[in-house]
Amino acid sequence: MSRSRDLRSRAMALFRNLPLKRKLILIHLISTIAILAFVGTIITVNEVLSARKTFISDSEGLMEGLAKNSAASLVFRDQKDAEETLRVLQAFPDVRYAAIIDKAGAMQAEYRRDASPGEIRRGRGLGSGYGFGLSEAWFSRAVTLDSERVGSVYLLRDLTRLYGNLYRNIGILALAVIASLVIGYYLSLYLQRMVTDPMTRLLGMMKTIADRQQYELRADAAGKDEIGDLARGFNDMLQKIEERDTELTAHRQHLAELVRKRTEELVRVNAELTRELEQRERFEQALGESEKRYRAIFENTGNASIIIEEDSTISLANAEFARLSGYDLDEVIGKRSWTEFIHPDFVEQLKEYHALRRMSGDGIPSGYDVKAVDRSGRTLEVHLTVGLLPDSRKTIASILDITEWKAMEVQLLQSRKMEAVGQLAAGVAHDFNNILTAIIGYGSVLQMSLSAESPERTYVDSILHAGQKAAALTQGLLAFGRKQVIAPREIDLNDAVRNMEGLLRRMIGEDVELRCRYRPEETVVLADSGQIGQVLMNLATNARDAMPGGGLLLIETSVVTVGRDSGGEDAGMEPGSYALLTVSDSGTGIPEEIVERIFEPFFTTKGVGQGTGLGLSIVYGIVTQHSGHVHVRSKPGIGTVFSVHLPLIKGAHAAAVDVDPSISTGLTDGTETILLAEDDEMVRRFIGMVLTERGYEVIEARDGEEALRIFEDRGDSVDLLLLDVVMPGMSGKAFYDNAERMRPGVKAIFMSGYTADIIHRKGVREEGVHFISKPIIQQELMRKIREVLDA
Amino acid sequence: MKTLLIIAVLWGFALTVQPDSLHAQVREFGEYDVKAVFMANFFKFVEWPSPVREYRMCIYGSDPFGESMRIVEGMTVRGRTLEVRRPASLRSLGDCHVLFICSSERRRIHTILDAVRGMDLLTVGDTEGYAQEGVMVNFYIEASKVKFEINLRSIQSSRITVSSQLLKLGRVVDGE
Repeated sequence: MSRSRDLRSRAMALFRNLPLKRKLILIHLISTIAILAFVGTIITVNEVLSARKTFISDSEGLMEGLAKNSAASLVFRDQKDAEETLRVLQAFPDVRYAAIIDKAGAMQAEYRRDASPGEIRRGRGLGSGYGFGLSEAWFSRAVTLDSERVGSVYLLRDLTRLYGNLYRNIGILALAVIASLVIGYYLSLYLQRMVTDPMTRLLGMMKTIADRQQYELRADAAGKDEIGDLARGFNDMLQKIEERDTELTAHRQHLAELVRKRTEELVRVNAELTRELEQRERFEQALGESEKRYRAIFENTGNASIIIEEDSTISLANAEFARLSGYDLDEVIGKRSWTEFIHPDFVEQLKEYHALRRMSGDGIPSGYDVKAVDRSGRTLEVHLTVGLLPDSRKTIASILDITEWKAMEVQLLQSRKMEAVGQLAAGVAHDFNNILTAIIGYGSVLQMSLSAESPERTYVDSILHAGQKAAALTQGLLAFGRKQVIAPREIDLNDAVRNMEGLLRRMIGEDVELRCRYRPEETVVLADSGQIGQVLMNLATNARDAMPGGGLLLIETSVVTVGRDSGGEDAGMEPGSYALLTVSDSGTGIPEEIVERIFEPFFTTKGVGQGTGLGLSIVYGIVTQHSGHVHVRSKPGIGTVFSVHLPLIKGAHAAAVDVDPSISTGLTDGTETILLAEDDEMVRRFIGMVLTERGYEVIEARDGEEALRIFEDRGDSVDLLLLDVVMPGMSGKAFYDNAERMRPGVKAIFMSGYTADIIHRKGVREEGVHFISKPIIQQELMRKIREVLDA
Repeated sequence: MKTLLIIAVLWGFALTVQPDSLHAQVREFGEYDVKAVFMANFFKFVEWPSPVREYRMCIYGSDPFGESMRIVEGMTVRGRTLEVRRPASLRSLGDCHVLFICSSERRRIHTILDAVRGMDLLTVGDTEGYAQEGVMVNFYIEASKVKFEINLRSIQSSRITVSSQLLKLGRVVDGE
């Protein structure tokens, strides 16, 4: 259905675009064809119908004759006669077959034009009727006699001739139609000019006018038909157009003037705008540069920085923030709130600040220390500096990671505490040493003056024993206070430990297994091997006490390198290589809450009488004095590890173990002259007595001034200066400096339990300057004097 | 198309089915049955000069038809009832239209024909030589079929008219 409509609309479109001439011809032809087709159809149908009618009436006439002539033969059953009757049909060439049939239906007579039997039985026994087939028609008629049916006749006629005639007639008709079409076409071809020619002329003129704008032209308006009307209307229109054209020209001129004026104005405004735009561009460029500059500052301050929107979202963050938080910037910017990075303990407070800052900003600190949390959940100590961005509701926060500072602060605090305690201890020990020097000194004199059998001898021995113990305690205090005089040398840490191995094994007992692992290479440190032994002793003692049921004590030496950014244990250490001495036990461990305090003097977990409470303090003092560090790591129930870091000296060859200086045990040690300066009379007299007894010439001085006078008088005879460091007035050190100027290279031994000034200034002993710590032990003093004099 | 086909088939069927009952009846017909019917049919081809109220068929002589005449007796021909009579004397033949002269009257044929001359009768017989004697229509048997011969002179000399239809069926003989 839509297809046919589509086709029709396409045909219409095609028709619409045809020229008028063609249209007229086409219309004419279509009309002609339609009429001819209609008339032709009617004629043809009429022809066919009338031909048929004639044929039928012909046939019926024939049948009637046959019926009449055959009635008697039927009644009297005369076949011959019937056949005679049919023979008449020979005159009709289109009769192919005929038959006479009696009342009972029996064939009376038959007639065939040719041999073909055809459909000869058709219609037999019927009354009247006829029928048309494709090539033949049959007729049947009842034969009646005295209104009684006595039989029937049947006829079959060939239609070929009839149709032949018909076709011929139709053919003639078709020829006539074609002829009239051709005539009609040429006629319309000629006649259409009557319509199209004026139109074409009009059209041509229109085209001329349109092309050349010649509105003064006029069309030929002679006809009185529609085309004439059209031409007249067209002429009227031209007239009007001409008038309007004139008017328009005037208008146009006016308009052109107007446009020119407006254009001038526009150009001016445009120039102004361009200038403004340029200005703005410059401004924007400047703004962009400013933005870039601030962006660079934001990125490169070194601090983590973020910009926070009013709704707490982080809208900008720099690379340092990414490093600190552990997040990628993409994960943070625009997606996370600042609260996600703050330790929960601080969030509420900061939120409050955040809100208040937006309202007034009064009374809100611009910086504060809080705890932050990074991606892995680690807590960081940070210092926040927060400010509002001007003219916005955004805030900018700069985050400084102060975790390490905080750790160092704690460490520093601890060190200071230790220092204070150490000074206190050392101060006490100084006076105490002088007292002990007297007690032990005179005790020793008394002991020597008594015979071995004397009953008082045991009392003196007890006094001396107690004095020795007190002296050891004082030494411990001084060691912690780093006020001990040490004699550091380049030694192999492995050797220092190896020499102690046997002693340690005996000390820790059989229940505890000692295992030592040495670094295969030489591990050279600047240290006093005796002090290192002390450290090992104390740590081993501590370990043994932590393992009452036995266990493993592991001592290891190794080397570590401390980087600049190391944290944890290494925090606060100078970068560089360190020899590491670790002492591990599998003991009870140290509870976390007291780990920090174990190095404090007199802090002990042991019961009264079990220990002095100085062991680890001494370790701390010695290690610190060696520019080293000691750390402890402990897990209750698993064990404790002490790590001692000592600065590693590279490339140097360590001296072997300290050669035990030979102690001359003869009655006289020497005859040299010794200038003794000591403000404490008791000590001075004691030392003087001992030295004189051992054969030395002793000149005593009560203070530095006296000593200087003596040295000026007879300095040449003095072989050795034995000086107390701390004296009222001129100190031992000051005197020594004067004496050294007068006689360079003069030998001297300083005596003190309090050598901080000297140690701190020099760090290591000067050539020719020796120390001996108080309380003065006779044997040690003698040995030292010989060592210095013989050097 | 389908309807047309069905009609054609029914049509053909109607044409091929033959009512054979009539045929069966014919077969039982004897010679005189045929002759009786033929005689009844003569009425349809013959016109009499005077108006006729009812057709009368008379059999003269010893009747050979027997029961056969019952077939045609009382039937209506051309709107008139057919009567069959068997007159005893020549005098009572006056109101007959068709007269069948039996073979028994062979010797008296001339007498009878002379007697009925002028009586407007269609004379019929079935005896050889009758036609030559002057009987108008005489039956004979040829190839087991009943035929008749016609004496045209006899018919032309009477006042009755016989249809040419009938005439062309008969064998024309000359005679008295």
